[in-house]
Amino acid sequence: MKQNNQTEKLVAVRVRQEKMAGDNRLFFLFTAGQVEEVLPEITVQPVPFAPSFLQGIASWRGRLLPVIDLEQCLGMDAVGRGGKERYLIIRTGAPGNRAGERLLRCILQVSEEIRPMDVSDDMSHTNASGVDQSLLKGAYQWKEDSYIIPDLLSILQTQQSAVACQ
Amino acid sequence: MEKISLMEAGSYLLGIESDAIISKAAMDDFIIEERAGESPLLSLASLLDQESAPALTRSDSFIMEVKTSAEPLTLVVDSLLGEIDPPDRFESLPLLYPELAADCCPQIMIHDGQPVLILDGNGLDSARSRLKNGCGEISLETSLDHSPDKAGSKTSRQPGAALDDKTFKSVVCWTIEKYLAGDSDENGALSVRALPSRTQGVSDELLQRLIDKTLRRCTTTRNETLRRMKNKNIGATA
Repeated sequence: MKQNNQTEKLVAVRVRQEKMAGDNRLFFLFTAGQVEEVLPEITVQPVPFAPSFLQGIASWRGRLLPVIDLEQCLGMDAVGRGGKERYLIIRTGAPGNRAGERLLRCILQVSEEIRPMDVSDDMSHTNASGVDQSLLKGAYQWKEDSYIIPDLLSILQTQQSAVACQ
Repeated sequence: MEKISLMEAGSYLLGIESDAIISKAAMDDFIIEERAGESPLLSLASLLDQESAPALTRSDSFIMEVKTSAEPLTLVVDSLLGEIDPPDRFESLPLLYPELAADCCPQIMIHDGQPVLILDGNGLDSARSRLKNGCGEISLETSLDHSPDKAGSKTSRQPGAALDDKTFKSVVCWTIEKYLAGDSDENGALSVRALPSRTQGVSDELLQRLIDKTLRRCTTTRNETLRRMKNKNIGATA
């Protein structure tokens, strides 16, 4: 995660699941440039015949975006739900990151525990058990917490990945 | 596309090109006057949820007959929300969604800030064929016979047989005739026991419900129209 000894602005979102062993917590990790908005609520229109991780479709600033339950998509258990939720309007990358890279948007239904992070120290690679590894860009350990980076472009780009997420 | 008709079916907010609608009716009117012909009633919500249709419990449902390139579909929806103008442009479902969803709802629009899935009759028909047998289908007997027996009820319960077309029409005719003759009791009711003949196996409860619904319809219909309906049904049972 360290890039040229500079601090990268990140956003960590607590994963909704059973408590991990000890005091360890699990978070999704995104760059600040990916996160466009955080909403307390949004009207989600269900779409028929969709896999369970696809909550439906919603309108945001005149755009129609899929609403995704990321934990379900990555094959995590549904236990640990029931708390308040937020809706993250998110891009697959930050504008200007890589020339020619296609940017897609979606809405993630996530927990309300969302916080910014400044990571200047090295994070160490780790394994994220119980998660579909093919849909991750990486998994890291930092201090006592674990962080996983979902590969949103892979999730959004093909129908095949929608089947794999079931 | 001139106008779009909005409707609700279960948790879905849907639209369909108004020109694709052959006819619409409230459930009660449909049962008494129109009645399903060869094509089955389809609960749109159950079909889209890929479930067997439950016993129809909402008498305030609506029936909508929709064009397809083959036989029309007769859909049951929860409510009709009126017509709206089409947007300047429609969106397509993101690639993320399965082909079945895209076939049924190839277009989406935004109305009052909410996404509306635009149904395609051919896509819906195709989906129905691909799903498990009978998915979403409602039997007319189920739609009429959805109230449990109450304690002390004097109507007998026989094993349910299907309400065939001839029986349906003869009961409707008889009820209209009795109503026009003023032969109902002091409460304006007619008992199934007064029927001159009963089809074997069809439950009294089912017949009583049909009589009650027909009577309710009679009270809001002109006598001239009732006579026409009666003659139409007599002709059909001759």
